[in-house]
Amino acid sequence: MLELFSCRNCVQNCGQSLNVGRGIGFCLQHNSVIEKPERTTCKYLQRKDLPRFVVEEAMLEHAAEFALFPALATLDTKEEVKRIYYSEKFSWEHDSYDPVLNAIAQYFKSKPAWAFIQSFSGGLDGRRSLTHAAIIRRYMNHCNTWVSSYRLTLGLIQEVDIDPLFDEQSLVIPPDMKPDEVRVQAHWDVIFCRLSGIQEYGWHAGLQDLMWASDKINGGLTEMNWALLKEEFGKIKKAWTAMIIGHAKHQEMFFSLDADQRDDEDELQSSQ
Amino acid sequence: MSGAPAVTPYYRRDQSDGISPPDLSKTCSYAEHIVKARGKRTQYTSVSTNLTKIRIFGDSNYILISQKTAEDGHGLVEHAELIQTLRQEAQQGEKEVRLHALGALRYATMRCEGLVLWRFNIDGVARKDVITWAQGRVQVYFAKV
Repeated sequence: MLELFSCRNCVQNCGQSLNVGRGIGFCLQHNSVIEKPERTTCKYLQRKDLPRFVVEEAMLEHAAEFALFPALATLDTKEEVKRIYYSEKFSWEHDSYDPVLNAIAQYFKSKPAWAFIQSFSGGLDGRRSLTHAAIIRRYMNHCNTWVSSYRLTLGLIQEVDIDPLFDEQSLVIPPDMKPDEVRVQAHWDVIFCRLSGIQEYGWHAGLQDLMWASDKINGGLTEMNWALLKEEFGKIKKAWTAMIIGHAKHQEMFFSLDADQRDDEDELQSSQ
Repeated sequence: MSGAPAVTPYYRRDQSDGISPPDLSKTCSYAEHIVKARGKRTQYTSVSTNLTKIRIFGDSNYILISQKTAEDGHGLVEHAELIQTLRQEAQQGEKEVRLHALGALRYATMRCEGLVLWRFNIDGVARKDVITWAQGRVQVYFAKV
């Protein structure tokens, strides 16, 4: 399933997944519109569907395969894809305005980055929820430390048991599939993206219980039973929250001046 | 894993010039193959009981010739058996095993997936040539539909 290696399954393209977000995407790695996200990739791919540390071998192999491309490339035919800068004017003139994509495309114009990211929190809309989880993971990966991401992850955990809802026009519906079938898959795209984000935070922070958070969830995840999983998430999120706060306090980083200063310095350095 | 030919037909969508070759040197679990944790190619080839559920590049549809596959000693992990194994790993496994199984369970269910396990003897085939070697050999087990 090559799609797993496409921009649709990459956190740099926050507003789309295999089942969510029709049409063009936007890549924060290359600051480019992605015309065909299911057929595009690059060597910096970071998968949405699973935590980075359990698919590392595949990602390294993929990076080597696309190493000679400086930016985006086609996934199947391996041809260079030219960068296309986002233009809101163009989108209005061509009747292609997409509010989520338009918001994401403002990322590098908005400072501080963490405040921009936090603005995606708190909604019920499934596509915004996906964007929120993916953009946190992207930020955490770029900063390459837990320090600048603990507040964002705390925010993510508070939403882990909230239902992501999808309007039909947010879904990518293949000709042979029914909207409700895709809606179920889209729902799981968000759940796995959120859970993977929590697990990646666990990896950065060295918190074993968060790194393997999936081991603590019982029937709901195995049975793909959202009602049950929601209940389990609701119970465990308090413990996860306490764990992150306790760890940050122990490391003397909990709302410390040092941590606050590092937030955007880390992001700035990594995007230079 | 059954050695007998499958009663249910299994399909694959792939390029018009043939089936993408497996990497016979890359042994891994069913789950690792399905979530592509070890890379794009492994010792398995994915097939499905339902062509409409396959979302993969390629403009040609193929059917697995299960009789020949079984006769030549290759294995077929049928969909039900695959799901059962993945569910067991998702329930009883830990860490990576569990996480891979959870992802795989989702994808395999969605795609009505089964797996062909190739049992070619690759002794004497140089590591760098394994994929090309396999390309020429797996084609006879599929027919265009």
